[in-house]
Amino acid sequence: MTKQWMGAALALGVGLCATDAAACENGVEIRVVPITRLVAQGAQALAQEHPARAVDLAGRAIRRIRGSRRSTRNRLLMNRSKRVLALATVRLDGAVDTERFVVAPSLDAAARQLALRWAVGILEYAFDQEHGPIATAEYAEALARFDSQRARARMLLRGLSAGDVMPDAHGYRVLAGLEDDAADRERALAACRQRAGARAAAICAAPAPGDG
Amino acid sequence: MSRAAPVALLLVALLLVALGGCDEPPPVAVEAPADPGRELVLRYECNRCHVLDDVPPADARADCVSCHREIAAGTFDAPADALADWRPHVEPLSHAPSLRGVGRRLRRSWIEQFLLHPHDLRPSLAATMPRLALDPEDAARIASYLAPERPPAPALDAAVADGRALFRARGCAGCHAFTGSGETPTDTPRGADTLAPDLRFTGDRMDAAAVVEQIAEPRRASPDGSMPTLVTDLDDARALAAFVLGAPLEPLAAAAVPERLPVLERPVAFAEVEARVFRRVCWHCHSDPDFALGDGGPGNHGGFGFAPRGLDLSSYQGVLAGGRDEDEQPASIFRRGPDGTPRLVETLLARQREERGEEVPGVRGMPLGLPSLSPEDIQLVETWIAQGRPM
Repeated sequence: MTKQWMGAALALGVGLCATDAAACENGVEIRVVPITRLVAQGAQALAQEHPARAVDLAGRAIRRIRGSRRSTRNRLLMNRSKRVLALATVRLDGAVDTERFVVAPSLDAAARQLALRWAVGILEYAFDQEHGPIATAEYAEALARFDSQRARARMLLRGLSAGDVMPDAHGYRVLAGLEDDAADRERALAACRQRAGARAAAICAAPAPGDG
Repeated sequence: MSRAAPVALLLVALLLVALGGCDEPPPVAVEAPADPGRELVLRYECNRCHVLDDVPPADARADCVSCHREIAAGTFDAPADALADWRPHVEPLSHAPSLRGVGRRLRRSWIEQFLLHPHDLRPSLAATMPRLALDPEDAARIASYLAPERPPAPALDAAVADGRALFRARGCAGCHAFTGSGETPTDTPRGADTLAPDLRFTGDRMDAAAVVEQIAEPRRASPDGSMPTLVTDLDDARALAAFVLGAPLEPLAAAAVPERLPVLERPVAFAEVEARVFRRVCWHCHSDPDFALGDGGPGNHGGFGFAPRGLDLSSYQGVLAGGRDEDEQPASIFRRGPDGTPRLVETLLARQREERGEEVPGVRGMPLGLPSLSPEDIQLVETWIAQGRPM
């Protein structure tokens, strides 16, 4: 084997064996790794009530990850990006092109239903993976969009409320829309307003009974 | 493959047969039974902070102290502006004493008790040994692994007064506090060495022979230590040791626990609590695994011997979602204790007490092994909770 070939093999071996750069925990990853930062920004945009911006950021992240090598980091970030995109789709009432990952206000009702079903599938997968309160609340929020799943969504959200592990105001807002009893509905709305703080007016507008 | 290759392979095979190499399996090395203390050192991940004699260092991502030291030195692989931002924050956990040769220095019984009831030993070091979830049996095994039993050391026949004079002449107080001995004007040494222990505890930690060796041959006693050889005469070392071990000590004045401040009147939103508390301290161990290569840190996925608790304090949703209890059930960090204090606040207050040598039964102080939050920061957290944890 010539020296050149040996060098090439060595380089290939190094490339194949390369691991993710040493980095510890969120502080470093988000600061140092651009794709991680992009996904984190998408998650933050959603948490800060900017679902359209979240769609944009998560969509960009998915496109970039698809063009990158396989790695643990990219697999995790892909799953997270899809979760962000799915929940944003729910909050945008299905007005998202889930093929191109862009907001699509002109989608008709049938296309929106398809987008919402896609979102349920993504969030159900995440829920099945861990059953944690965040995944549970997100899944329930998506389920609540479908009449046939409202009871299940209510059961999941009541569980989070009872354990005081509801992850944000949205969970209470959705629960309020699922409760039939006026007192239960008002209790959930009050909790929504508490959690939403300054954003209560935007998030916790009183839903009509049955308005998940 | 050239035509010569099969011939070469045949020759190698014949040679192996001739040597009997294929007749029986190669002898299997008989491994010594694993030392249970060493196994525990690995389970409790002592190597994330400490260097040990025959335990490999932690994986680079898990080696807290080395990582922080690289950041402090500017050699960590990150942009310069990030390093500049992080540098002021990594100092509390940039140093930890090496445990190489620890068996030559420290009493086994002291190690055992220190593991169970850690306290502030090094006044210039912000971090302390964390209070791990160790039971007495595990502590005894680790201590036994680190420090073999030694015969009792003979008493020193040197004069304490001579040692005190040498202590002053050699400037030992330049690095060491010696609380209660009257040798340091304050309880804080002048800071030449971050790891220099308060000599008040020397009698508990070391026997006379170990102290003499530490003074006379510091490199032999502490291979990774930075203590200089300040005396070469063995009689001087004995005199210094006699002083360190025999100086009359004033009792320690119990430091008051800071006053718990009333909740604020003004509105407090999550962003302020996040900036001052969660992102400044908590999220380093309670991370979001999606943004940390799948490892949410010891406070989330487990570590330092702690079971996974699933607690992510890196976002509003994570904080409100809480963690998991011993039965793997979701557990709010806002659940009320016996006096109505939310669990999160209980842990922050417990850390203040731990720093003063008190342990709160059933509550582990947080941040683990790091300085407690200021009363003002705890007040901020309490206020936010009292106001309904608004986003």
